[in-house]
Amino acid sequence: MSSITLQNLTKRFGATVAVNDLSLHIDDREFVVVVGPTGAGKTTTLRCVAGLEKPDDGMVLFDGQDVRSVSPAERDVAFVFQNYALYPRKTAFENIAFPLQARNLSAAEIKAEVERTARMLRIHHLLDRRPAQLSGGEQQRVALGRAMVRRPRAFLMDEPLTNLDFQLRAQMRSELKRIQRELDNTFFYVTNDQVEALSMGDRIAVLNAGTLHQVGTPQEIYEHPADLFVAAFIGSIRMNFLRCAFIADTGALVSADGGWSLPAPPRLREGAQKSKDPGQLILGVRPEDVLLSTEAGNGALEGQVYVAEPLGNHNVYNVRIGPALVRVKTPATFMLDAEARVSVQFNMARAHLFDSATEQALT
Amino acid sequence: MNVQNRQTRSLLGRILFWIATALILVFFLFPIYWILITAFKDRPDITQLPPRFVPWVDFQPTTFNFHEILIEMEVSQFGTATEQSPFLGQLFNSVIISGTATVVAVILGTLAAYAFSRFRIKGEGDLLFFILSTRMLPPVVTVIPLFLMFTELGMRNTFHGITLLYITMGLPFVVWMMKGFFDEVPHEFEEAAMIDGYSRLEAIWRIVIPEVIPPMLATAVFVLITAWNEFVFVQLLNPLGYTTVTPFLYAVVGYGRTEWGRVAATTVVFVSPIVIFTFLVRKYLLRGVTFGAVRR
Ligand SMILES: Nc1ncnc2c1ncn2[C@@H]1O[C@H](COP(=O)(O)OP(=O)(O)OP(=O)(O)O)[C@@H](O)[C@H]1O
Ligand SMILES: [Mg+2]
Repeated sequence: MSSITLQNLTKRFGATVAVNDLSLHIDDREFVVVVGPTGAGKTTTLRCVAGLEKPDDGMVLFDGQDVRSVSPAERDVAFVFQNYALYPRKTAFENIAFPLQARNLSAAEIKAEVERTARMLRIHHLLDRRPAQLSGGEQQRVALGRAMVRRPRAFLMDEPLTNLDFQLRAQMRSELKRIQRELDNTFFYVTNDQVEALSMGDRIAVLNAGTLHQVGTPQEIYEHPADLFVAAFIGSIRMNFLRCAFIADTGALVSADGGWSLPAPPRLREGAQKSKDPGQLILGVRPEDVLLSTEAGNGALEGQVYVAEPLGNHNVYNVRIGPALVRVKTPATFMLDAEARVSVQFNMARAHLFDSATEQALT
Repeated sequence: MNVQNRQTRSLLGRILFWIATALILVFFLFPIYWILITAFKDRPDITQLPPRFVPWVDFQPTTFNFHEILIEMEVSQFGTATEQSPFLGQLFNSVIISGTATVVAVILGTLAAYAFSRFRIKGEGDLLFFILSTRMLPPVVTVIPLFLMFTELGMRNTFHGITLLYITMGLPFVVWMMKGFFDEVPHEFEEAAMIDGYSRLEAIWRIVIPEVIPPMLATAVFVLITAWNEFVFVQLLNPLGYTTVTPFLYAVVGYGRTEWGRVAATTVVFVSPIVIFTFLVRKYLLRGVTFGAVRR
């Protein structure tokens, strides 16, 4: 039960900068999720915290204490590895008991602790199996058990749910949240799945190519992405990005190809004026903030359905507006044929503006 | 195709398989059988033509040859003078020299291989190549320099001299083999143990080594066989002390006429420990050789 602070953490592998000047504070008992695509440096960051990797620059602090000279064993954190790293020759019981054996507990105490943990994870019937005799989901629970059996100062988890199938993953997401509440401990959790990040994190840190892009609550990250990368990465259907220019005289946003012109509400107008080059902007609209209609509406753009994807509980349409393609999320009951002519309306109150040179959000 | 047809075909396949296996076995094992029965033959039986192959039918087995090499042997052609055989002493030397060399080479080589596998080492490729390069010269080429070195250092006819030499010969093999095997073991295994509260050495000993025991035993067998079979260096460097069995085998061939019975008996005793050891670890050997193929 500690806070963890990363101060200007940098780690290089030859010419690759795996982690670049990363600063992040995790409060005691907070659940922070670092999310980023593959190769972002998530594993490397966790390994630096655990003491498995020596940072080239910057430092890691536990409760404000520099842990540079503290060995992994003495850091007293628990680590769930991306590939679980269960000891293949040991049974599930022996795997979970292994951290306790390092701590001079009696056999009876160890047995009691292992069984308590196994019950919590609902794996007590699997304890005498070896990892090879367990399914992926069961292995994952044993790996969690090995981490949870002691009371470490923090849990470091490296994509523990990535190898599970979709349904199990959804189930384990809520399990893990329950476990975190039960254990009441600090969780530093890493994933490449933005759904996991949004649903589990007290706060989310978005990482790409070793660089931290934004830290905030799930809502902040979703509603106010700090830059193009975060806007594109977070959200189950990718945000639409439309190149446009702001015309100060008319207060309108005009698409780069001249196909449309929309009046900008005051929030976007202010944002556009912050840019050094208001002629080169990017309008960001989430697919759920686009409204389709079969009747021509006031101020609506004209479009034509290009591809329709019925997804069960909702539909996604790719709609062509001039040369641009816009993704639109609609309720499942809203049915359109391919090639259908539609009118398209952006919910400008929820739209975002980005500077195309700096890629930073302007709104 | 009906079921019965398929069954007949697979029966035929099995018969052919067993015939082929039997033929191959006879081809490889017959010379060994011949040596084995020769070791139990009297001098006259050995030189009989055509040779006699069935004990108790063709010839009467005798332990005479073993008595000769193990206890005392005739030195004159007329069976009048005998002298004590040095064989047992040399066999003992073989056991402790090859044994020590194997154990030390495997331990040191395994530690080095672990470091090469896990840590970023400056000039790793060059170092590994250098280690391998010590095995690139034919050993005979190094005989003279080694002889001079050993003379200068007073290491001829000593236990530590020849053992060090065998360790040196075994090490590159162990380092290269074991590095490959360690590379197969995910580094997260010992990292998990280190996070669980163990030092790196404890983690290696309790988690990593158990993973590589089969290939380690396979490697040890190869090192042991190399040391056990080595002849040129021990003949040259240790003629007067700590001589192993191989020079005895050479000497027992005799001058003038070859004592086939002694040669055969010596060969049988010489080969037995290796065969027994290999037999004992055979299930690890197979797994060791196929290590990369069966994991993951
Ligand atoms: N031991 C290493 N040697 C060299 N390069 C490495 C090493 N470990 C990581 N890297 C590089 O550092 C970068 C970050 O790697 P890292 O494993 O931290 O990414 P990640 O975010 O965990 O990705 P993933 O989601 O695929 O697990 C990558 O470009 C990777 O190739
Ligand atoms: Mg990773």
